[in-house]
Amino acid sequence: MNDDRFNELHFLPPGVAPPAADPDSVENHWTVSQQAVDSRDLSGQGGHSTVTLRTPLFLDQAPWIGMPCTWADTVATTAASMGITVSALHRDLSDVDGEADFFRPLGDPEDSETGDIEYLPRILPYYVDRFGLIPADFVGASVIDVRLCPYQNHLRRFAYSPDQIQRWERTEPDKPLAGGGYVGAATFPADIASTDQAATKFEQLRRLSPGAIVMASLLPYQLRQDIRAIVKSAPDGIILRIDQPEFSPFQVASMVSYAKRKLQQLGHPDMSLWVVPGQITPTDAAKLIGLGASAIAIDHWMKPLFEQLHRSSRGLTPEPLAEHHLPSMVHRLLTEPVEAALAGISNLGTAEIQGVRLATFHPKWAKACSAELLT
Amino acid sequence: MTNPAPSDFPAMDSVEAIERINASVASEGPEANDIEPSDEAKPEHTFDMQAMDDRELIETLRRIPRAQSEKFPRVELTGARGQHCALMQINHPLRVRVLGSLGDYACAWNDETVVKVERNVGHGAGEGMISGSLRVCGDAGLGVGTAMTGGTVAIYGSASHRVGAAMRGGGLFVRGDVGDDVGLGALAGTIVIGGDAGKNLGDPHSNVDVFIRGQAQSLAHGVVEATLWKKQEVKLGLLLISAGIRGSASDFRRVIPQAKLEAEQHNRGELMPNWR
Repeated sequence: MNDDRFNELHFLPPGVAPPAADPDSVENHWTVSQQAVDSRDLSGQGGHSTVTLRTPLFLDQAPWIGMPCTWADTVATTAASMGITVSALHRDLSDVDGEADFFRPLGDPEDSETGDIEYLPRILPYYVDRFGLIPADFVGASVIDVRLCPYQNHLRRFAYSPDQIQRWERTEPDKPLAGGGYVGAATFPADIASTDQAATKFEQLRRLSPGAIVMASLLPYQLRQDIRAIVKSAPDGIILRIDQPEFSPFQVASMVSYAKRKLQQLGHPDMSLWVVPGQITPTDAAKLIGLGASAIAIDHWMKPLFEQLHRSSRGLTPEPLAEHHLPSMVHRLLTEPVEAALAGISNLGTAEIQGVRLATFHPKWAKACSAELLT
Repeated sequence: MTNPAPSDFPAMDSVEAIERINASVASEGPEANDIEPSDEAKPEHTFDMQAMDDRELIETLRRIPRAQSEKFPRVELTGARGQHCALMQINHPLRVRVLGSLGDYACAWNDETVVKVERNVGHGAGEGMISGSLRVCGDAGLGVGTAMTGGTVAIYGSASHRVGAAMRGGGLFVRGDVGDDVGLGALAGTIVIGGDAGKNLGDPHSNVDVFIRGQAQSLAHGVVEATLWKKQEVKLGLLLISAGIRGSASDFRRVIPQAKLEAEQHNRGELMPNWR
């Protein structure tokens, strides 16, 4: 059965020369540059910081809280080792600060000739409320995801669960914060006056985490009214959160296309546009890249594993989970879709290479997605 | 140094008052450097913030040897003219005095360091503070002490909206007035307001101790005012002394979730934290 959500969009072969179809070359394409900011702030780095991602795929908001820390750490480390940029806080993955493998430097920093310390690709989720965030989270982050929209948990609720608060704030079970109930999520960062004033916040985060790029997270409802002001505040990119189940595939595709066009209109055609699309297949991921996205969240592909881990952590599975099998479980789950997505993406054209194009038989899709109309 | 007395600001019932605070925070002229050193102890180190960028300054501060005694080394900073993102993550036991104003996100994510700013600070000052203190002789912008988990932030002037939003610990004192949405989404800690408050004071899901001496324009839904327990009066009195705020603890009332107050009355005393 074909589960693709964007079936109305088709790949057409390139018009003239075939593209370079070497999947390895894909790994070199995904470089997100931090825009030059005050050169004083980044002295020693030439006023330009670059984050290179092995793949344009990321794990946006895994339900770490529903499983033991050691499992969460193993899953995050394994996925990141496969080139997936993983979003997590220290306190998502560890009961004791500094103990999770996911956050350790790669190799021995003493051996580094350049003095640069490498880490696994990581997104720091800078929630509106900043619950769970500790200063160590700024160290070695690749991307800072500045949420200019409220946190929404995996149950689609705009609230933090008692378990989440307990793990993040390290409270005793009988001495919870906030009375031990759900805590509603705030809608906008309290210390930012408006989207127009977000530039200083982005500058602050660049200073706190000099090697990271700073991206602004938006809900689709903010796309039309706020994108101009946010782009003016000069983030390094936008993360568009359109994983709400009420959005049809057409709406998702057209919003991605609209956001890309808007960035072009505002004079930032190269600004990164990361998309959290909800349920997708590897082919869908390639099509979203074709529509203008720079990176795609693949949380949906991990869902079966997380469900299994949650059941197992509650003792609802016949056999207890053998923790040493977790890396191979992650590999088994991700290898095929990641390779399929990368193969699809590698066929897409770039500014230099003419690749496959997106086309459709539906005038509505053609108009909304700037795709070629087939007749 | 000119500190606006609390009475200089009207009750936060108008946009004008907030604009006045924000304007006073933003307007920093050359006179910022003209502040005469007060009678405080002579600093062991003096640095000019205009002569080095923030990164250099932080590294320089971190290289100052730790004191052998309990007294922190004293540092004086000149050239403070509202720089944004200044003095973040110093994380070193120092007593820093800033002769002038700092801009947005000043002293964010600090641990151990004791900072005194002689004039104003911008938005988000003291964000994520873990320990140490930030004392501001003038006014503060939006969201002062946002997400702090420990330490003390004391504003001797007035502060704008969303004071102590999402705070998770520590103490936050404002001698003057505060704007709207104080303690929005805060989980724990102490907020003391010496003057008046704007709209929507408190949070119904919060364990924060909010104390107010003046009047709040309105309380958040599900939040009520109540008198202090004797034990709380003693605790608040000590906190006021340590924050350098004059007045008697008995002048204050506490702002508390109604459900928590009802649970207190049911249990006839202070509660365990899991009152929900």
